[in-house]
Amino acid sequence: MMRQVREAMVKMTAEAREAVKSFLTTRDNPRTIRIDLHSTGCCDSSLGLSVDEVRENDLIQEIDGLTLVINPEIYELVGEITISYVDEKGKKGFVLNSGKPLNEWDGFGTCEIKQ
Amino acid sequence: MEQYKLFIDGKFVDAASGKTFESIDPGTEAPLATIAQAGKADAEAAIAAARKAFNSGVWSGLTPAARMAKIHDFADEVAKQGLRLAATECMDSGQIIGLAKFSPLLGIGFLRNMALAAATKFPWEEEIPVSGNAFGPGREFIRREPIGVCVGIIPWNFPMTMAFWKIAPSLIMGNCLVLKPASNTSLSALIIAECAKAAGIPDGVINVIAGPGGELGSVLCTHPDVDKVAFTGSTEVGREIMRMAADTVKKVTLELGGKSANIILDDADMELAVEGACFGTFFHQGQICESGTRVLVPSKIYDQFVEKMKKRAEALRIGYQLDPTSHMGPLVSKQQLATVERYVKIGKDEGAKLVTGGKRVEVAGIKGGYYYAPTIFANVNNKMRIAQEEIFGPVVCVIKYDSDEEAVAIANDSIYGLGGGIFSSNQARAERVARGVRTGTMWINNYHIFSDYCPFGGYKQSGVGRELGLAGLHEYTVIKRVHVNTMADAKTNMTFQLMSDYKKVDGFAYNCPTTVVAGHGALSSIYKAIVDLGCKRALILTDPGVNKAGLAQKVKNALADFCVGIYDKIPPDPDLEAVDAATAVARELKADCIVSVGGGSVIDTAKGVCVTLKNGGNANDYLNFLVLTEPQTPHIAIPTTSGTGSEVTNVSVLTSHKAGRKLFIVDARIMPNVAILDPIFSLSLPKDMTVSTAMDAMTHAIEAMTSTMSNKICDGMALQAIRLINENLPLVAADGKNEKARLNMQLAATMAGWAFTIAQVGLAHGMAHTVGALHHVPHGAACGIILPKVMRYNVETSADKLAQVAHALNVNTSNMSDRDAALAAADAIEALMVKVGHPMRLRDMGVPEESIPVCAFHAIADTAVIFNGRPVNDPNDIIKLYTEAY
Ligand SMILES: NC(=O)c1ccc[n+]([C@@H]2O[C@H](COP(=O)([O-])OP(=O)(O)OC[C@H]3O[C@@H](n4cnc5c(N)ncnc54)[C@H](O)[C@@H]3O)[C@@H](O)[C@H]2O)c1
Repeated sequence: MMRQVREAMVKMTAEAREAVKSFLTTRDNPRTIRIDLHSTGCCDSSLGLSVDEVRENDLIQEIDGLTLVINPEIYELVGEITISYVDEKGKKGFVLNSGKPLNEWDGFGTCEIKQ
Repeated sequence: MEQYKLFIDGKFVDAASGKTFESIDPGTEAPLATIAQAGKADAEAAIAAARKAFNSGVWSGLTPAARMAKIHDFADEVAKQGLRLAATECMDSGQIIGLAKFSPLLGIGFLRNMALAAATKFPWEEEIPVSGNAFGPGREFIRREPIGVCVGIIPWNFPMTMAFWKIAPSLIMGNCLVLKPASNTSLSALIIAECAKAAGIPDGVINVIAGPGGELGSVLCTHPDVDKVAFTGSTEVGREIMRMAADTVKKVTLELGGKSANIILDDADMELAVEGACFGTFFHQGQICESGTRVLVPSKIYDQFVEKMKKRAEALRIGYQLDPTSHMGPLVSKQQLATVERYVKIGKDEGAKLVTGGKRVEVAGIKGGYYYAPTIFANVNNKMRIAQEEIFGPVVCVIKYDSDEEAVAIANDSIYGLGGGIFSSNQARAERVARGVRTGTMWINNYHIFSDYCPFGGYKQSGVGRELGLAGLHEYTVIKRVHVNTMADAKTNMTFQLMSDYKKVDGFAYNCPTTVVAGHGALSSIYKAIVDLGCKRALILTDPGVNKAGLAQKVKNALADFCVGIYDKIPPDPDLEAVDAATAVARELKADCIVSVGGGSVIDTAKGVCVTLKNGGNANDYLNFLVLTEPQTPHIAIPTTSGTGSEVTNVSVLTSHKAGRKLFIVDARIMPNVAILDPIFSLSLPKDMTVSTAMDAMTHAIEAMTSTMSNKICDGMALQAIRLINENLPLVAADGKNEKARLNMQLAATMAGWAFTIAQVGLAHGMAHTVGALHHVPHGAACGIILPKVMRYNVETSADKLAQVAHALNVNTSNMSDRDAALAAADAIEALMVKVGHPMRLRDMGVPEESIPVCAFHAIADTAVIFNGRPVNDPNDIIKLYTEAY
């Protein structure tokens, strides 16, 4: 399998890194998180996170002991991704922004990591 | 290339920042127009314009009919722009022209239908005839008023229709609107704004701002001047909008995602079902939130069905959207195309079988465009992501099932509940299945049919609230309840008095409509009375004792042909079941009038029967205060005791075994129509009953005078009742056959009934109810024993009233203070009781002494105690009174 390790594909805030790690410790410590297109119902899809394994052709980036993977076509579509974590005023979860926004609601909602 | 501007406060303007963006044709990827790109400042300006317009009343202050006239002009302007709207919509959104050409027509129809509904059918004002609060009488009504400034945020799949879905109800209901179309498809909304301007919709009433959802949404959904947000779009964005709106508690309606099940039953018409399954998912490239993207097919026809769907899908023509022969056009954007491709990959990875499609399509003669083939997955398990997540593209999952129950379970196994379909040749079965699915819309043998008057919206995570129809109009109003007190007087306001030391209710309404016919031979009047009531089928209700005394038979004879039967199974202290049993007989005999012949037990049961006979259901349904709105089944009461006064009162006392106590139906509507006081009906009343029921009446009269609700009409009735009982009770106790004295006792009981039905009773009743319920002390006897003790207790607050009672009891009060006279009244009651052989102590009535504290706690909570002239707050006071009576 080809491993295409990339730098500067994904940026993660410190809060996001902590939140991912604390999520993973509650589930047998897998280390690979996929960034993917998720449909959240009706119209505009968004970027989301899920626990996965490295797959053929994936672009891979290691951050702080975590492995982030993304399908190259999706990376091509959205560009560099920033993952942050919010926990304020009832709003809680990961916020994903991308260099080439998927749509006009880029970074508006939050997501959880899917199993 | 065309240039579009923002529409704010009646003017087409550039964005404050001067920024613009391009809209492209998804069928060719060619730019179509430039549009001013609104930012925070423009959103704020639009909100300010809407707020100013709303507050000025130029629109919100119009009558619904006046607004309808303006909406008609608006609809006419849309008609003028019909062709431009359709063509622009087609090119901007990728909708095939065959569909887009209908959108202006549908929008016009929707504007006109909703305007007419608002002007003619919508309940702007509603009377509430029964308020449910017995203590604050008044006219009660509600007004429905516009909410204020509404924000509409709409998606790109049906841009024009969605714009009308937000514009029509908000404007028609008197609101002002800021509309934000999707950035991919802003053009039709801006053309509609031109129509509104041309129609003379006042400035600021409708504002349209195009621009990025995230940035504008954050302003629109948090601005304190916005009262409501109506959003159609993704569940993730909707969730965030709801959260943002929460800070300033805006009203929110959301129309979000779906993963609807289209259930094919094994008896479905095959051709219709296949057509429905394909139309339900591939129409408009599957970019419809209520699409039936999970087609559930029974195992036994599964393979055949999938095969037919495949054929049908492969026959669909995909082409440029302006080409009139195209069945399907492009997806809206390359991102949407990428999402669809991603999910198709996920489906394959999850092990679903790709039957057809699963690839992009190139359209001859066009370079580019986001075309995708209709795609069918078979062997899909409902747990797969492709079955759980909405793809919003031309991808359908065909899922196998074995029973109707399983189909319903699969349909419901989703976070969504927006649409759904059932195909079957058995409508009864289809409807049964439809009932089980938790979803906002169900189509039977059809799909994607919307109708202006039929509400649309979601269960579960598919949304909040409804659009379309009267339900949709309601979402754009708020309710104002208006209470107008019947008595504008501080001293008639029982609730205000909770914070005052003045506990007397001065004003009153006296409404006692019972016709009383009294005297020797009064029974004969029943023949005319029943005719006057318009009745022909009277059922006599009575109890075994009264029947045995031959009294019911006398009434039957007097009724001649108008009597359909005698029912005599009514027990003393009747319960709810007694009413229901009597009602069953009345229903069976088709009785149209109830004639009660008996004491309070029979008359109270009859009152309950009149209510259930009229309204249906059981007596338990009506145990309440002042809830009846119409005259009940006619009722003629013939009392055979001289105590309760039930023949003229507004109360029916019924035992509820579940509640473990006597409860009430209280309503002026249950006062009997006619009361016949004929002394022959009480001649046979045994002495002990004669005495104890008389003391019941005496207690009614005296407590009506000392109650917080007492008034001069009731005082007059009460004093005459006291006088008559004092004079006549010794006579009837000595000689039960003294007809003249019997009649006077009947009149006294009736007048005491009239007194307390308006003025209420007090502490003695509360205490008597308690020993009655806990230790079965007969009500009249308990009243008598307790009454003098309570009179002495009430001297504190009611000496003047009790002095009048003393006078009526023939006490010589000429040299007495009110206080002394009041105390003398209590003594006189005791003397009367001794004279007629009334029991004098609770200990003789089977009440155990150790029960007194428990009784006191029950008594203090009794409704009657609320009205006692002297406020009762300390259970120790009641313990003391019970001990005195012991
Ligand atoms: N609705 C009201 O305004 C009101 C007011 C006070 C009490 N109540 C209720 O009324 C009921 C008590 O009514 P009541 O005191 O009139 O007694 P009742 O109706 O229970 O009758 C008591 C007994 O006397 C017998 N009887 C009655 N008249 C007779 C007659 N003329 N000759 C021979 N026997 C006769 C009956 O057969 C019965 O066995 C209780 O349930 C009480 O809660 C109602």
